[in-house]
Amino acid sequence: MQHRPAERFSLRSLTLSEWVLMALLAAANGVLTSGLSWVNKLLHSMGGPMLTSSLVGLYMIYGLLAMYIIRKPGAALMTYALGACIQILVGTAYGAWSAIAAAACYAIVIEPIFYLFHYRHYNWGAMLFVGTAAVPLWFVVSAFMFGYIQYESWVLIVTLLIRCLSGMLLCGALTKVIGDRLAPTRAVRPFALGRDYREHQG
Amino acid sequence: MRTWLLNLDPITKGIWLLSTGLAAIVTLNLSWQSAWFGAVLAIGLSGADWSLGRWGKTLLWLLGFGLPLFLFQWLVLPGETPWLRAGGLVLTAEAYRDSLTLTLRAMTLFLSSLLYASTTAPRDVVVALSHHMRLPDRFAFAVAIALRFVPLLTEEAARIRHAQRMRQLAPPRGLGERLGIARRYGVTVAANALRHVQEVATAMEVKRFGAVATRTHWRRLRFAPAGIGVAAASVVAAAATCLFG
Repeated sequence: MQHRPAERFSLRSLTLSEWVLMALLAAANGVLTSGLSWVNKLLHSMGGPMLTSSLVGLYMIYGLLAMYIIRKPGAALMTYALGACIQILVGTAYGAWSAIAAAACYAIVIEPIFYLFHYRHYNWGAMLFVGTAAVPLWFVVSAFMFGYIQYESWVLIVTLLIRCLSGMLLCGALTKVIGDRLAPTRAVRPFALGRDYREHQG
Repeated sequence: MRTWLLNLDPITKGIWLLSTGLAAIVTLNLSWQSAWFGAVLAIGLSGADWSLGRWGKTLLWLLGFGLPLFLFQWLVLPGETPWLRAGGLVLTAEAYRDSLTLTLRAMTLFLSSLLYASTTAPRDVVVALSHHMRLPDRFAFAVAIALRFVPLLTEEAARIRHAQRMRQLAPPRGLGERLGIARRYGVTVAANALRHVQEVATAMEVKRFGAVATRTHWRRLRFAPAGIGVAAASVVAAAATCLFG
């Protein structure tokens, strides 16, 4: 029988293990972000928003991976919120507002999509779609925030396309690859991903 | 002796950080942007207690990304008044001004964030979130756990990278081989990190985390007048920037 998660968000619906997992993913993102932010700054300096957009998918992966493993309402939202806090506390090259706004934009898009999917669709199509769909809102916000809006329109269009591609591959596809590689391991047995894997294997 | 920025609590300092960020994002006026960058620099120099070496590294970073960013934006931003001509390339006065403004904005955001992170104790942040901002304990302690995980994960990731590098006899060749190594590295780091989840969750349950409705806090935050002053001044300055900048 397929595991059916609660479809109403409540902080209590998430178990302690799930909170720890979300904290761990937020921490991993903090490490990744502080490491990548320097690379990103260099890419930004050399190629403006176009080059820096190639990495954008990696910044989104932690929330989607949390949802892929936990499969409960609020998993992505809480993970992104934790991630924003950690980024502010470890220092972010783009400032506190960018950490908060990016996390909010990703969560605002990803949570409702999984709500519409009833927290049950995690196939390749769904993951690639979510990875791509999470990009445009933050792109619009960041265009105003970082002044990209001043650039020529062709720069903005190319940037959006690169970001969508990055979101699809480095967030959607990579989440699926990492999640599927983790599914048979002991580490994810207590979570919905591990349970669904075992049920699927019979 | 601790300098004044280190003595401020995370809440008033957070208000300063967010006000500075908001003002830097809102204004496209070069004078206002320069004033905010100058203010952040002055706060850092007077209150952060950084060594000369650290300042040198930070300024090198600021110039390292600021200068190429400024040049790139000068080239791509639109403008009407020609200022410099190099071959077929025309650099305009408007693009120069806008590029300098946007570069100063990036530098203000970067420096203020770095100052906040380097002068704030993570434990104080957890107390502020849980006790003063009334966020759910689970959220506040998840932040604490995540902060504890950051150095652990960094150390483990470095150890795994060294181990995998030593096992590999020849350096990787081609994109496919490099991607394979990256995938193996990523999965090993993730699986290894996930092992900690059950250990930490079990330890917290054993200590009856969340069993009692109201928590007591051993650590207390002290709201210094200087902190309240800095927070109030930065809110007023940010409001002025939004209105007139």
